[in-house]
Amino acid sequence: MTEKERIVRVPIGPQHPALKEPESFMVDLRGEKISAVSLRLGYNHRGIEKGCEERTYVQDVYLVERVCGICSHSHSTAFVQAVEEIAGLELPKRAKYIRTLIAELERIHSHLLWLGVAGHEIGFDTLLMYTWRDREAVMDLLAALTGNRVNYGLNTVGGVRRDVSPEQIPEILRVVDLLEERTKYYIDLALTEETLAKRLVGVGKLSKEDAVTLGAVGPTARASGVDRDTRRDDPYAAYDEVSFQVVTDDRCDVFGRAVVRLGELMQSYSIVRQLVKNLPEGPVAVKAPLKIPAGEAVSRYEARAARTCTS
Amino acid sequence: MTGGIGAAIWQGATVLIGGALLGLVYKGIDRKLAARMQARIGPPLRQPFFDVVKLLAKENVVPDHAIAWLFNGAPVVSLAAVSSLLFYLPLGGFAPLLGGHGDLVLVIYLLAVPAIAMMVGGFAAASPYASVGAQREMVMLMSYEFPLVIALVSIAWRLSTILPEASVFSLSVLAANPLWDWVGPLGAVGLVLLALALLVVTPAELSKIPFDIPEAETEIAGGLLAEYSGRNLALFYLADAVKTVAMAALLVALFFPYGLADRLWLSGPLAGLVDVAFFLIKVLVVVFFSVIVVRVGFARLKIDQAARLFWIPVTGISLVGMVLLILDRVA
Repeated sequence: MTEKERIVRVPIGPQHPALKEPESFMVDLRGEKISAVSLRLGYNHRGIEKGCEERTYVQDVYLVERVCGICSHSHSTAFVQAVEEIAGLELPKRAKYIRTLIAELERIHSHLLWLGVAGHEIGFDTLLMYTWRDREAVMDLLAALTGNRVNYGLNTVGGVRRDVSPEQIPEILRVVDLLEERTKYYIDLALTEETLAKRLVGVGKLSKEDAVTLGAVGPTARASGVDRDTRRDDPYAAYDEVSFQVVTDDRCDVFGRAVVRLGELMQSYSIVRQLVKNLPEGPVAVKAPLKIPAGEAVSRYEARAARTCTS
Repeated sequence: MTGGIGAAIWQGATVLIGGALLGLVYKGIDRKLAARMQARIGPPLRQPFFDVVKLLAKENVVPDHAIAWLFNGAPVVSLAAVSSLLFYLPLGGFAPLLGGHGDLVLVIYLLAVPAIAMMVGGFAAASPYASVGAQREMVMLMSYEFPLVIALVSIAWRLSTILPEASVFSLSVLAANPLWDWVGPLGAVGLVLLALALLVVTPAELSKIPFDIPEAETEIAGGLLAEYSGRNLALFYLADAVKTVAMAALLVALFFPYGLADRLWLSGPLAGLVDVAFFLIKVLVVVFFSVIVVRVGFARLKIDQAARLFWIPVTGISLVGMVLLILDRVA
């Protein structure tokens, strides 16, 4: 057999059970080892940038929110922050706190989702069922706070559209306590369950050097030992008023990424508690001027899986 | 004479249809219990029946580049092989229908046939997913067959030293003379080890998590089964259901063939009924511990990890079990 015949070419995508969105990986296999991959991304290009150009700032808030279903709040926050900078608006403190609160709740639901999907991909459906069941608690909380489960529609230029009522605070704390208990169990599970470690350790190696040169961000970078977090390095919203640790890991593989996300969940619970405890009184929005001039601004946001920049 | 043949056909049909129904019922129980353990409600117990009926009604797609006769033949061979297994296994208090015509060695071969049929079907499908799946199935087969055969042969050999006159490879003889009654403490430990090895082999034999590597839905999109649909998929589904029962029945026959009726001083039809019910419970216990709990509690292994697991620890355990049985004979 020639070298070429020994290679099996397996198409992973554009449609494949492991992929949540269409993208294509042509994988050349020699036995069970990958010898080459060719990528094709961009199946999901929806022309949102062009759509934004043709709309007003306020309409864009809702369009941008629909860039991603899992991290809708991060996109709209990054966008309104840029608009507010151009308009020269100073936000009331309570608005900043509520934005941060929703941001952390979104991070919690997204990290639980990631953990479940990771479990499903390695054939550990029990983990998927457990984490997604727990995720429902935070989804219900988000629905109660904002009126929506996915695209919250909370941000507006100049603040947020809904206030957090005092009756909702005990419910927030109850959900956070519940999830903290469950997350401790998952951390214990991740560190002791052998088949989990067997599938995750050493998979998807990304060295610290590569993570830096390739510009990796978010939990992926932190799992490669890059100590980088926009929430701490360039605080926006109310992040300069809460204390938290940036979780990093030196494993540089998928296992490390799972460990980082689990650690970040624990940090998020602590952030939510601090926000709720110190929630300042006052209005939740300032009136935005009817006309905002054209301008340029950069806003950075530490999203659940990457960093969202809007300019 | 014609009556004899008629009765034989009648019995055979009962075993075949009963086996298929039983397999689907156990699949339903498996899905329900697994769902409960995963904090889900799960499908109704009848779901596997609905699945088969629906699949049978669906279009049977054969890929353009597939070798059609191999592709369509594999599911038939697979179901035929597992169904004929039922004729050689003692089911409850009843002796195997074809007990006089085949023995343990035949059972070992029949157990391997569905895997080989799936492999052939997978290669014939001319799909990269199915090809990768077939390669993985081949590696799995080579990994788990060795400990399986060691365990079965050691038990038969030990029995041959006790009953030199009997044909020890016959499953009815094996089931009628449980080794536990004869061996000393060393042999008992050996038997426990062999039972353990077989409990680990069972999920691999049945392609269940953590050993569902040849099918690995999220990696190779169902692997061997990727191109199968309609009637062919229904046949594989049935074969899988029947094989689960057959494999569990084999373990029951080897390690726990005891009936309940004798102990309760029952006789007549009631005794038969009690024994069948007890047998069904024993099969359920084996399925519960070697399939349901395992598939809920573990992630899927990689193929090299699974192969290493069977070649080193599991083969090791069964070899130690064999040596203990030999020492038990010497002592």
